[in-house]
Amino acid sequence: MMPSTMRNKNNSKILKILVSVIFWLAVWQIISMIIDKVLLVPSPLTVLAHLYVLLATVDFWQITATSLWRIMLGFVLGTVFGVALAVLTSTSKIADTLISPVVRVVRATPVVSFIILALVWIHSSSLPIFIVFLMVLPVLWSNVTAGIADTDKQLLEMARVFHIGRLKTVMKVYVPSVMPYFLAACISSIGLAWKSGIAAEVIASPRIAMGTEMQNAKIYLETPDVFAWTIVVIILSLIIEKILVKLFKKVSIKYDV
Amino acid sequence: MSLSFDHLNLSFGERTVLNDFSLELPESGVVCFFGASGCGKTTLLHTITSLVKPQSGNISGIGGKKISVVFQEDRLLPWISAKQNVSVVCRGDEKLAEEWLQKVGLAGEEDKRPEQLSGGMKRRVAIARALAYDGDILILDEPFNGLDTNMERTVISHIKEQYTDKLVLFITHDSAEAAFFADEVYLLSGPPLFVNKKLQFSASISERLADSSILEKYQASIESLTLPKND
Repeated sequence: MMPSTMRNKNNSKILKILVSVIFWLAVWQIISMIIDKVLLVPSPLTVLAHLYVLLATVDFWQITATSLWRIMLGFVLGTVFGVALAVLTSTSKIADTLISPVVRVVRATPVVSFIILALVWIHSSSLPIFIVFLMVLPVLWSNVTAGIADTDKQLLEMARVFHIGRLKTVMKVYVPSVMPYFLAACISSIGLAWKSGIAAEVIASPRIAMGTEMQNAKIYLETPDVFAWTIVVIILSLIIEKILVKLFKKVSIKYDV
Repeated sequence: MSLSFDHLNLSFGERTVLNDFSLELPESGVVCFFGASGCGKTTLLHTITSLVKPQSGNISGIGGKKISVVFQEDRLLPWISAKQNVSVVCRGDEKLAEEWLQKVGLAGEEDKRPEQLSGGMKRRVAIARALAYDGDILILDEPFNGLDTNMERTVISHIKEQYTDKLVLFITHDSAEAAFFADEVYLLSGPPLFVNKKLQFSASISERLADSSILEKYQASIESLTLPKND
C-alpha cells in the first residue's frame, strides 16, 4: 500500500508542477507574440534555442563552474564566520557590545552599496565571494544567536549540577538546541547568496562569470541570452537548495529537530 | 562535616525567600522537607548546588562534595536516549546507565527517547541519572510524581541502600511518602522560609513495611501538624 500511495502522491505533485510550468510558458509565449519584439520579450522557444547553443559551448560550463565556486565559497565563509561571531557575541559582553551593532548595520545596508564600495578595494573576481559572505553572515549570526539564547536554561543548569563539562555541554545541549535555527538560516540564505552573488558579478564584471555574461548580453542587446542565463541561475539555485534540504534532513533526524 | 545553612538571606525583588535562615542537618539519613508549594524549600536546596546564590550568609559542609539532583522537572535531554541521558553524567559509562535503568524498572526502554516515554518513566530516568552520578549528597525535589506505590517503594529501597551513610534531602507534599521514606521531617512554612517543627522517625524501612501501624502513626503525626489553616 505505502509505496503505491507514495508514488501517487509524487505523481500528482509532478503533475501540478507540470501544469503550472505549461500555463506560465503559454502566458510568456502569448505576451511575446503580442509585443512581437525579440529585444523586449523573446519567446520561450527563442530562449530555449539560445540556451541550447549556450549549453553546447565549453565556456558555458567553465563560467558556470566558476560562478558556482565563488558563490559557494562565499556562502561557506559567511556560514562559518556567522556561527563563530554568534558564539563570540553570545559568550562575551564586550564582543556583543562591539560587534553586534556592526552586524546589524551590515544586514540593513543595501547589497548594491557594498558592491559599489567594495569594487574600490577588492579585485573584481573576488568581489562576489565577499558580497555573498557579507549577505550570508548576518543571517547566520542572528539565527544562531537566537538559538543560543533560546537554549533551555533548565537543561544548562542540569549540565552544571552534574559537572558534565564544557565540551559535553556544548555537544549535548547547545548544538542540538541551535541546530534547527542553524539549518533554517542556511536554507534561507542560500537563495540570498545566489541573488547577491550574481548581482555582484553583473556590476563588477569579473573576466569569467555568469553575471558578466548577463551584463554583456544586455549591452549587446542579446535579450534571449539574458533570459537563458537567468534560467540557468534559477535552476542551479533550486538544485542547490534541494540538495541542502536533503542533506539537512539527515542531520535533523540525527538531532531530532 | 555536616551540611549547615548559616544566616542565609535571599530575596527576589520584593519577595524575601530566606530571612536569616539557619539550619544544621545531620551527617546522614533521609531528611524530608515538608511544606506548601512556594514556601521556599526548592530555593533553599538550589543554594546547595549554587544554582541560586544567597545575597548573604554561608553554606558549609559542601566543599568538594558531589551533589546528585532529581529536579522538580525531569530535565532530560530530548534528543538522546534514556541510556545516554544517564550515561552523560557518568563519563559515558553505558553499562552503569543500563544497570540503573534496570533497577528503576526501565529494562527494555533504554534506547527510547524521552518523548517516547510516559511521564512516570521519564521521572524514573531522572532518578536513575541522579543515582548513577552517585553524589555524596542526594537532593530529591518531588521525585515520585507519576510513580505508583510499588515503583516508589522499589526506588526508595535502592536509594536507601546506596545512601545508608550519606545525606538525602527530600522535598514532598505527600505525607505517605514522607512517612515511608524519611528519618527526619522538617515541617516548613514561608516565605520567608522557617522551620515550624521537626519530627524524628526512627523505625527502619523493613519495620515500616512489616507494621503498617507505624506508617499510619508517622503519617498522622505529619498531618496533625499541617492541618489546613484558614488564614
